[in-house]
Amino acid sequence: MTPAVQCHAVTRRFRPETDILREVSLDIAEGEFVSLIGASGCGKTTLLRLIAGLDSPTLGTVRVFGGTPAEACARREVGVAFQRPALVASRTALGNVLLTLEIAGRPDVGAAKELLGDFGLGAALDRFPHQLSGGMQQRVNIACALVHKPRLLVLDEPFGALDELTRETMTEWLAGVWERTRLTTVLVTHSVEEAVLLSDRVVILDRDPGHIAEIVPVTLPRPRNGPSSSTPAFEEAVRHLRSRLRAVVGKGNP
Amino acid sequence: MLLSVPVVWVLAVKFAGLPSLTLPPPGLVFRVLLEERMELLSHTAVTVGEALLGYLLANVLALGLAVLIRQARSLEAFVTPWTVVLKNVPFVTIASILTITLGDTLAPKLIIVVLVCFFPILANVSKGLDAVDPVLVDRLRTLHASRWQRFVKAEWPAALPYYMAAHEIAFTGSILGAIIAEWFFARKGLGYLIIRATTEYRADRLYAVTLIASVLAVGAYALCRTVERELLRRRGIEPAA
Repeated sequence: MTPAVQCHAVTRRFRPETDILREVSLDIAEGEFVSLIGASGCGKTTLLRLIAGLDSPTLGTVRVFGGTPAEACARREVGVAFQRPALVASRTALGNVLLTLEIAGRPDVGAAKELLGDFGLGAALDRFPHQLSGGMQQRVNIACALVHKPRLLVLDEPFGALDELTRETMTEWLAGVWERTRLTTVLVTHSVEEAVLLSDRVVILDRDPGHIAEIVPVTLPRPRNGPSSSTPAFEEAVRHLRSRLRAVVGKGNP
Repeated sequence: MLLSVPVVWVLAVKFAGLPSLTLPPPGLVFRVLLEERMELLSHTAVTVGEALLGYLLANVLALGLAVLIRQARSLEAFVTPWTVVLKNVPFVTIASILTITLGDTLAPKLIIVVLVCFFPILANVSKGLDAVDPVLVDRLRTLHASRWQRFVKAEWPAALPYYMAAHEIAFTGSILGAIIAEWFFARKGLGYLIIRATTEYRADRLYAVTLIASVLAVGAYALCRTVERELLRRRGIEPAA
């Protein structure tokens, strides 16, 4: 079966002699949740932008569902959510979710309301972004990325700006959303716990130039939720990933 | 604050000892406003008409150019030097040239009003369009949004507070522009009345016209602020800084 995402020998050069990514190859299966983790500047976000069709590789190829990322975007198969919610200040929560459907050419108020209801935002439909908490804004943001039923969800540190407690709640919430949708998902994160709770595989990137240093599979049983994050198996998986991350990042930072 | 104006005026008349030819008492000015109201109204209507027409024209031109530059960035390098030159040439000198060239027609007055209103709108809308959240633009790009969709759904909403703020300068400026244009060559309008009152040593009428022009400008400003606040409040956004 053709992987959902195929990165083949991808290099992204921003200035001559400066490779942000060099010869990165990665296949992501349909329905797989993959996290990208690594030190700042290792090219996580660059790789994510290449997959989402927001940038093009200098060398190598990126394929999404058999075509170019731009073709996948044109088929409305990609949903993205970034660390800073991409919400229009003059639109309500419902209006922002509808924006996605308007662009996709199928404005369905019922679907937007239903999704926001599922996300626990049924009472906040008519609130503007500045009237929502950080966690609520991010849930609206993810609803915007999911409402058109994409096949690939791309998340760039969606909870990075939230406080620790909200972040934990949101991670468990996202785990629940993913269990229901089983979407092919690529997540950039700095949190080891988040990566372990959500992912099937964690890709550790190293820098100078950015490359895949190691891929760590997470074999914990699903569904994973709050209670599962306090089991010995989960703690062991976190310990293992953290040690692998330290081994990779620590090489260049004695 | 508004009440302090007549108080200071009365005190100045009482204690400065200036003749009414130089500083007419408020009573005299209000008598002019009352007795000559029909003439004053007809001239005011002419000035307001010119100001509104020029202001609308400036909106169309400035919005059109701002959007065009946004869509075709290469135009910016061509257009910017021209706008800088036009903006910095004193428009009073342009008014004189226009009057010689076009005579007592509507055209020179409209051009002056457009010159006064055009730049604040162009500058603010351009700044507002540039203020669009790049993260939102990225989101729309992954949805394969067309340029027009990106403009309507993301860039214009970002520019709206800036556009509204521009009116505070442009709308009030349109009254000023129309009056100045009428100074040079006109037979109607508040600018013409100012020149006529000056040459006839009619300080009472001069003060009456000044009062009308001030009320118009302050009214225009207040209207802009009210519309801006209400529109932005309904859309849940803060006015531009």
